[in-house]
Amino acid sequence: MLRVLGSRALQLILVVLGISTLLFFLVRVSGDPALAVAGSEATTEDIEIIRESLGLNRSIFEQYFAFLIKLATLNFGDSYIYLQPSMPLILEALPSTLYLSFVAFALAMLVAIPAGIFAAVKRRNASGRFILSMSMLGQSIPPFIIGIFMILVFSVWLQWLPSFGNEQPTSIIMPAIALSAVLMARHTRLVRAYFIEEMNRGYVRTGKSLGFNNRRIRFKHILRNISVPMLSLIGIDLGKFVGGAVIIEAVFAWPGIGSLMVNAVKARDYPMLEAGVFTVAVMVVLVNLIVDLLYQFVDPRLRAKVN
Amino acid sequence: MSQRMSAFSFFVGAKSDALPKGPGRKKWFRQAGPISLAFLGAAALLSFGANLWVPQDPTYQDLLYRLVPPFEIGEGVSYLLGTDQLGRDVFSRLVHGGKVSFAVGLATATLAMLIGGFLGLIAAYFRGWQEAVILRVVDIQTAFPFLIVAIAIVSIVGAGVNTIIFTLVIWLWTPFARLAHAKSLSVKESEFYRAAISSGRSGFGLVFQHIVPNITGAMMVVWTFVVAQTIIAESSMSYLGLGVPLSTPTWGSMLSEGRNYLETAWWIATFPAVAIMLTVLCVNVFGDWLSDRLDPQTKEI
Amino acid sequence: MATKAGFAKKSVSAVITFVMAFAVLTAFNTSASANTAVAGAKCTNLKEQEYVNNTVLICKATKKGKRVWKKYFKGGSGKTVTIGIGSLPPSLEAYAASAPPRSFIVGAIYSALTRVDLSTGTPIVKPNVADSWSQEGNSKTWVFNLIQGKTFPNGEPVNATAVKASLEWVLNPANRAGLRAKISEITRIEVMSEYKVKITTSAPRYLLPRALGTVPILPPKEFAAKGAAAFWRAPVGTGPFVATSFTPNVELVLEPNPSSLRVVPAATKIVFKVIPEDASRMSGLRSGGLDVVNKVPTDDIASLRRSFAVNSIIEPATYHMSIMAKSGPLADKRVRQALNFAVDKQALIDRVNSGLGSIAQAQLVPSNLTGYCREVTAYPYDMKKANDLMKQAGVSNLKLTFQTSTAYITNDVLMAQAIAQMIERLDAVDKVEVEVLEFSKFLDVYYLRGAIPRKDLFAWRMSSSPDLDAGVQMARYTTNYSTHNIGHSDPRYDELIAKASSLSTRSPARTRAFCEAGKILKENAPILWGIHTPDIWAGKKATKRFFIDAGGNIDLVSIGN
Repeated sequence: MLRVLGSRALQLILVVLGISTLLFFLVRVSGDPALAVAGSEATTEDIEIIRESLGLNRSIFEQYFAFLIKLATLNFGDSYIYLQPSMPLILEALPSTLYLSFVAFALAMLVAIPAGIFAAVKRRNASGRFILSMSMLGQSIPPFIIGIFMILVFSVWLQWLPSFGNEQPTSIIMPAIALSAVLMARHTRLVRAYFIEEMNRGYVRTGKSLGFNNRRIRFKHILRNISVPMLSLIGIDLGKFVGGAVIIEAVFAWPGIGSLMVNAVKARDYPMLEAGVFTVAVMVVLVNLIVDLLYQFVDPRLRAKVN
Repeated sequence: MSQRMSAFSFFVGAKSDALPKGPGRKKWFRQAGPISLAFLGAAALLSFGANLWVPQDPTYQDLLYRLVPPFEIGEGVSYLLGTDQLGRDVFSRLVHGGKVSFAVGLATATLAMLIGGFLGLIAAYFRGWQEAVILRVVDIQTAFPFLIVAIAIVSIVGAGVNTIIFTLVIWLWTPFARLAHAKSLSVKESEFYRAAISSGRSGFGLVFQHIVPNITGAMMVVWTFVVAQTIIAESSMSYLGLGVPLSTPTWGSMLSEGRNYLETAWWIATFPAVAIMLTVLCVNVFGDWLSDRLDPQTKEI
Repeated sequence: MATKAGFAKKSVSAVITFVMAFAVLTAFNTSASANTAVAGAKCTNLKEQEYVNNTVLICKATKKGKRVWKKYFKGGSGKTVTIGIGSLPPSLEAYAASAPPRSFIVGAIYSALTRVDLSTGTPIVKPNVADSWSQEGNSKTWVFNLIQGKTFPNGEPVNATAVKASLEWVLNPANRAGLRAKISEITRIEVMSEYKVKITTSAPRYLLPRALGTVPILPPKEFAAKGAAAFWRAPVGTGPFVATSFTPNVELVLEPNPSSLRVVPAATKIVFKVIPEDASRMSGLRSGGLDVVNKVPTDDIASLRRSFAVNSIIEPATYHMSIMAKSGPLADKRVRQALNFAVDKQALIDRVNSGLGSIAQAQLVPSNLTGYCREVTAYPYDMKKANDLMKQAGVSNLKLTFQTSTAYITNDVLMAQAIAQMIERLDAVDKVEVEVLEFSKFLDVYYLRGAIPRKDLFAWRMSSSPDLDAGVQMARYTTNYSTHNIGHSDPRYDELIAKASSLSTRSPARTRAFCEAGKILKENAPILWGIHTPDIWAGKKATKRFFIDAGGNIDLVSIGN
C-alpha cells in the first residue's frame, strides 16, 4: 500500500512538473501578456510599466525559477486579468466541473454496464445487435454536435430544459448527456466484449456443468472478473473527463474550470494557467490513485502481490 | 499502469465478438466492413477529386444569394444543399471540406502510428531507461486535457492544416506506443523469437523481421480508430476556432459557423454534422470488422 | 428676378440652418461647460432622464408642447432582470476603462463627479457627485460644488477630500489606471471647502466635465487601507447598485444600493450572465432563461422580432481597415483609393448586417458625434474607377492579407470575408487572404508588438463612448502615433489635430480643423473605410423599459420597472 502511495506521489510530481514546464515555455513563447492586461486604450508607456510590475522583463530562466518556487509553495500569485489570487478562482470553478464530470460518468456507467451485459447475453438476437449498432453510432458523434442539437430541440423548441449555466437542478441534464454519450457507447461495447469473452472461459462452463444457475455465474463471477480491466479504463477516462469537458462547457456556458483555462491561455494569464494545470494534474493523479486502490480491492491476486 | 490492459481496448473500446462467428450473424452484418470501406473510398475519391466535378467554387460568395434553403432552384442558379451566411454553396463546401477531414485523418493516424510504433518498439527492445522514460511520458500525456495544450500550440504556431496534424500527432502517438510496446514484449517471449536469437540474429534486423510483422495487424486496427478520433478532434478544434484558415472549407468550421444559424438556416450546420457522423461511423465499422480479421486476440496481451 | 428670389430663399434657408445648427450645438454643450446644471431643470430632449430623490424623471412633452420633467417611477418596485452578455470585465476595477462592457459595471456601482447621459444620442453632462460646476477666469480652472450630506456605505463622507484622493490616485502613473489618459491634463486639485473642489488643467480642456463622468469617486480611507487590488474585490461605492456577488467569467449580481447618491433603481435585482457563445446566448433568450441579451447576431433579428423586443443603436465608432502603407504597392495613394472605391458598403449593410448599421463617410465617427464633418463624404462604390486607378498605378497580381478580430465586433469575420471577396474582384488583385486573430493576438497586432506583423489590411474599431467625440480616433493617424504606426504621415494633418484638441467642442474653429484634417485623411486614404456597425440587444417584450443609450450602455436604473 505504501509503495503504491509512494509511486503515485512520485508520479504526481513528475506529471505536474512535466506538464507545467511544457506549458510554461509554450505560453511564454506565444506572446506578451502585458497587452492583454493593458487592454485597447493603453499607451506604450503603460504597457512597459505593466511588464515591469509583472516581472515579464526578466529573463525566461529567472521567470522559470520563480515559477518553480511558486509551484513548490503552491502560491501561484494573482491572476493578471482577474486581479485576484488565481488558486481560489480555480478551486471555485472546480466543483462545477467535477459535478458535471461525475454525473456524466455515473450516467455513462449506469447505462453502459446493463446495456453491455444485455447485449452480450442477447448477442445473437436483434435486440443485442441493436444495442451494438447504437453504441457504434454513439461513438461516431462528436459530443458538441449532440450538445447543440439537444439545445435546439429541448431548450428552444420545447423549452423543457435550461440551455446554459448551472442554476437549476435540471441544468445538468443536457451537458451530462452530451458529455457521457461517447463514453456510454464505448463502455457498452467494452462490457459486452469482456462479458462475451468471460462467458467462453472454462470456469463458466465448469460452473454450468456443476449446476450453478446462469444468473449466479453471470452476476457474481463474470462481473467480478470483468470489473478488473474495466476499472483501469474507468480510471483513465475519469482523468480525461476532469479536464476534457472544455467543449461541453463552452456549448452550455457551464461555469467550470475548462473555460477558465481556455481563457487563461488566450489571455496569457500565466498564474491562472499554472494554478489550473496544477489542479487538473492533481485531480487526474488522485483519480488514478483511487482506481489503483479499488483495483487491488477487486482483484485479490494483486493484493497478495503488493503485500 | 501501461501493462495492465491492452492499449487497443483502452483506446477504442470497440472490441467486438471473439471468433468464431455464431450463426446469428446475418450476412449483411458481416459485409458491413467492406461496405463501409467502399463508402469511405468513394467519399474520399469524390472529395479529393472535387476540383474535377464540383461545378461551384467553394469559396465563391454571392451576397445576393445568402442563406438560400436547400433544394431550391433560383433564377439560373441552383444550390443543392442551399447556401451559407456568405452566399457560398453548401454542397461544394461539403465536398471540398471532406478533403481536410480525410487528409488530416489519414496523415495524423499514419504519422502517429510511425512515431508511436517506433518509440514503443524502442521501449520494448531496450527495456532499461528508454522504456521508463517513454512509458512515463505516455502516462503524463494520457493524464492531461489535450485541448488546453492544443490551444497553446495553435496560439504560438498559428492555425493551419499542418498545425492541426502536428498537434494531433503529439496527442495521438501514445496509444500506438503503448500497443507496440506491449505487443513487442509478448513477441519477445514467444518461442520463435527465442529461436531467432539463438540462431545469432540481433539488432534492427531482428526487430524488423520478427517483431514488426507480428504487431502490424493490431497497429492497423488501432490506426483506423485513430482516423475516426482524428476526424472528431479536427472538427472539435475547428469548432473552437483553432482549425484551418477560413479560406479552406472544413466540416468543423462549417459546423461552428452554422451553429449561429441553427434557428434560421438549419442546413448550414446540419449537413456537415451528418457528414462527420457518417464518415466516423463508417471508419469505426470498418475498424471493427478489421479487428475481427487481423487481430482477434489483441485483448489477451 | 427668379434668380434673385432663389438667392433670397437660399440665403434665408442658409441663415436658418446656421442658426439652428448653432442653437443645437450650444444646447448640447451648455451642460458640458455651463455655469450650473441643477437637477430638475428643463430638459432639452425627449429621451433624457434625470435622477432626483430616488425618483427617475424622464422628459415628456406636455399638452402645450412644452418639455418638462415627468416622474417616471420610484425605486425598488420592479423584479429580477437577467441579462445574458457576451463578456464582462474580469474585475470590478473602477479605473480601467470607460467603454462597454466595463461601463455597465462602473456606472452601476460607482458614482463619478458627473454623469454623462447618452440617452438622447448626444452627451449631456448631468450632476452626480457634483451638483453643479463652473469654469473660472482663465478657462483652465473648474470649480465643482458637491452634493451635500451623503456618505459612502462604510460611513465615510462624500466630500471634497474623497474627490481629491480619488482623482490623484488615478493621476499617479505608478497606479497604472487605464483612465489616466482621459484626465491627464489635470495639474492640481484643491479642496476649497468640505463640498467645493477646484481643478486646474495644463491647457484649456473643454471636455473636462465629460471626462470626469468616467472617473468614479471612492471612499479614500477604505481604499487606502485595503489597497486597490483588495478594494476591487469588495468595492464600496455610491452608484445605484451594489455588487452582491461576482464570479469572473460567470456572473455578476447587482442589487439596489441603500447609499445610492441620487436614485434607487427599479429592479430589485439584476443578474449579468456571461455567455460568450452567440448561439448559446440566443438560445438562452429563446428558451426563456434570459430576459435581455446583447451582441445579437444580425441574422437572428428577423426571427427574433416576431416575439422579442429588438433594440439597436449605431455604435459610436467606425469599422475600418488601417492600410499598412510603409512600402510596396500600398504605399501608392492611388492603390489605397482604388481599394476604397472597390468596397460596396451598402451591400455590407444590406446583405451582411441585415440592413443595420450605416455607411461610414470617410471619417472615423458617425454623424452624431462632435468632430464629425459634413463635407467629408464616403468613397462611392465604383469598380471602373477602382480598376482605372489600379491601372494608373501600374499594379497587377496583387496579393493581400486581411487581418480581422473574431467575435469582437459585430459580424467581424463575416465582413472581413465579404470585403476580401469584393477586393478580389478587382482586376489587379489576385487573392485576399483573411487571417482571423484571437483577441490577445489581435491586441498584439494592434499594438504592433507580437510575433505577428501588421499585415496589409487590419480591421478594427474603437468606441468613442462616452466622449462621443472624434478627437482620440483622429489622433491615431498622426505621424508615428506610438501604437498605430502604419506609415501614414502628413505634417499638415498633425498640425490640424493638435490645434483641434485645444479648442472647445463648441468652437467652430475646432469643427473646421477636424473638417480639414478629415479631407486630408480621405485624400491620403491610409484607411479603407467600412461602416458604422450596429450594436444590437434583444429582450423579452415583457421586460419593461429595456433601453440602450447611444454609447451602447443598457439603462440598468429603469429596466424591469
